[in-house]
Amino acid sequence: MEGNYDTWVVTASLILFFITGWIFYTKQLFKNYEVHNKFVQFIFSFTFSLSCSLFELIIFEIADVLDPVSRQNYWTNCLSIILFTLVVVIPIYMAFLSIQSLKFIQPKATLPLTLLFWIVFLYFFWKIGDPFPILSSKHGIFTIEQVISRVGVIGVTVMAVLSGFGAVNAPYTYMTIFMRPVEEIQAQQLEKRLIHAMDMIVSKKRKMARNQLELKRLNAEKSSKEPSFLSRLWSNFNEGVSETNLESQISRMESEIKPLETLSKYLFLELVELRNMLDRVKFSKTFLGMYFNVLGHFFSLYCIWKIFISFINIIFDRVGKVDPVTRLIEISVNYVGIDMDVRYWSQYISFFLVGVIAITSVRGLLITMAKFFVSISNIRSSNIIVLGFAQIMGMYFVSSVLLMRMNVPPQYRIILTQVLGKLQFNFYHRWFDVIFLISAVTSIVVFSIIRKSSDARFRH
Amino acid sequence: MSSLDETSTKILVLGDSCVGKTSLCHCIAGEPGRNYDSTIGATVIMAWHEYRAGTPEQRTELLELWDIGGMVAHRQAAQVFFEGAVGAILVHDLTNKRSEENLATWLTMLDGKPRAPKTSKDPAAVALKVDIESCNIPVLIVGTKADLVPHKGPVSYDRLHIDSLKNILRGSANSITLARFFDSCLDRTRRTSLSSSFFAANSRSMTPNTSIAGSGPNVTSSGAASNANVTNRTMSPFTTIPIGQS
Repeated sequence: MEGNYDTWVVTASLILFFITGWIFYTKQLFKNYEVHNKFVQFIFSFTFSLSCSLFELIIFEIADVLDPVSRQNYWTNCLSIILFTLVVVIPIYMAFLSIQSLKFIQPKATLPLTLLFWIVFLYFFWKIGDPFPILSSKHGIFTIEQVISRVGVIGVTVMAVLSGFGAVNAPYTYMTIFMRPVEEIQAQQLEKRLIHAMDMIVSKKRKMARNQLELKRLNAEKSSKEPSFLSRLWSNFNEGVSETNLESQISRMESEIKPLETLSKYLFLELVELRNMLDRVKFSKTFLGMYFNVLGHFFSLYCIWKIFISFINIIFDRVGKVDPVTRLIEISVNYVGIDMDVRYWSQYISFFLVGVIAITSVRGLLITMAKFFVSISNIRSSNIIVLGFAQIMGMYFVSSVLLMRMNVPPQYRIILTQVLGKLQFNFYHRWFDVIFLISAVTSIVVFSIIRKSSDARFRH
Repeated sequence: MSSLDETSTKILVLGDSCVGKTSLCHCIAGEPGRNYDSTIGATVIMAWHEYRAGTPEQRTELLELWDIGGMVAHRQAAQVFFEGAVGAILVHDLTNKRSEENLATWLTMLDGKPRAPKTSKDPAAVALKVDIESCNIPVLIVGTKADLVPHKGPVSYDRLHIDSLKNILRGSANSITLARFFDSCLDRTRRTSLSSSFFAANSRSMTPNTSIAGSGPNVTSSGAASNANVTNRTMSPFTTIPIGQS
């Protein structure tokens, strides 16, 4: 009876997540295109539902819902299926779609080429494990630990890069001290310059079009006439001169138009950026904008602290021994003096913390994915890009499960260790810190370079 | 020749990103078949058009087709290009229904009247929703990539399905609808023929449209001769309202 109830709960939640992923696909990702390939949509929703159920199982572990034995089974099943999807299904289908879209490959050769690409992918996937202190092949090849260790490396890298970038980007976007003071009049001046450039392009193209028409008329007349030898000689001499005159004029105008067109593109892109800036300034004056500004200050403090801490961790080779939950309870008991039942509260708080982390990371990833997808995809490559996103999403969620271990008290860590196998967890945390630091520093450098160059542009 | 340099008519070509606006403009201008990158900002493509072909008032006119990039991030800034246009071509992709639904957004950008782009499964309902009659400039709706959906036909007589990789054949329904649209755009400009008597005398010197190999249907060998007749306008032969000199 217990087994039946458990199965129902897990299956129902899987279906619910699947439907959420399906709707997200059509409404957010593919809001500008028609969905032609339902299989890709299925794969995406499937990966999404499996990833969400991973989080759900962690929460069940902490809250001690469902029967422990069946929980263990579900963990293993869920992890195996999602790893199989990430390593086998998605890469093969991505390679298949990419090869199909290449024009110079014969249709018969697509399947063998796909398999070849997949084998190359597997080889590199295996080789990722070499430079890192994770399991050696003595422990078996097709076990979950081997695969998850490598998936973990890739996923942790992606997570750290995104976190580093987000940590720098969020304060930069929302805090007003970083916003450049722009005014509507600058936008109007830029528009005038753009319209002037376009007018010059149009007048030159007009002249060129009339010259081309005249040239065509002369050529047609020349080819349709049947004059005598002398008159042909004379007309060749005459028309030749005016023809080459026209042709040289046309080519001269073409060479004049090209730099004008480049200028107009450049002016247009500047206008787009200026309008964006104006919108941001307008937004920051609203209540919501001011709220985000204040939040941005707190968030930037948190990001600076995080960068500092990861720096310290690397320098002093220290892995955080105490998780936030226990630390919070310690502080509240020792310093603030609240009397709490440690066991009850630690379960409650870690359950809450894991839930918050899970929801915010899912939501953050989905929003980022939708924004990126809408901006970088076009109708030809949308399927391949969305499969790439599904792959990144799966790896991201698997490794956030891995890293979650650090955030929960020791008694729950044991459970996660049991399920995930004998992995070098400390290595993953250290790796996350390193990549986070690199990504944050790189983002700061890139942002300051962009800022300096656009300051120079907008000064006049 | 200097007065001729000022005569060309601005027509906008609008639509979502990657529907094929640039290919369509080159197809109308008579040079189909190349692959083009995504347009940033606007590019202008010149096309010749026989105004009122076959009537005594036939003239060769130059059209500026303003091919405006349809990327979402650039949409607000692209409105700087709309000024001075006398007509608009709204382009959608026949393989992508969302691009047709988004035409209502583009129409709203043109004239400012709010239209809610609601989705619908019935193609006729989607077509009706884009009410081009309410717009104050002539609007034509064109569906591109017709070679990918050969089983679909146009919903009504004034919609076009065009394959931009091929020339538009003279005398085909597409070319007639396009010519009618360009004529209605040109009617709105302050330019017309001189008095009809002048043209009756000159009509013998105008040869009918002789198509030159490799070019589209809109270029004639007598274009230069008839262009010399275009000067100031005193009276429109098609209305009784005297219109001032341009």
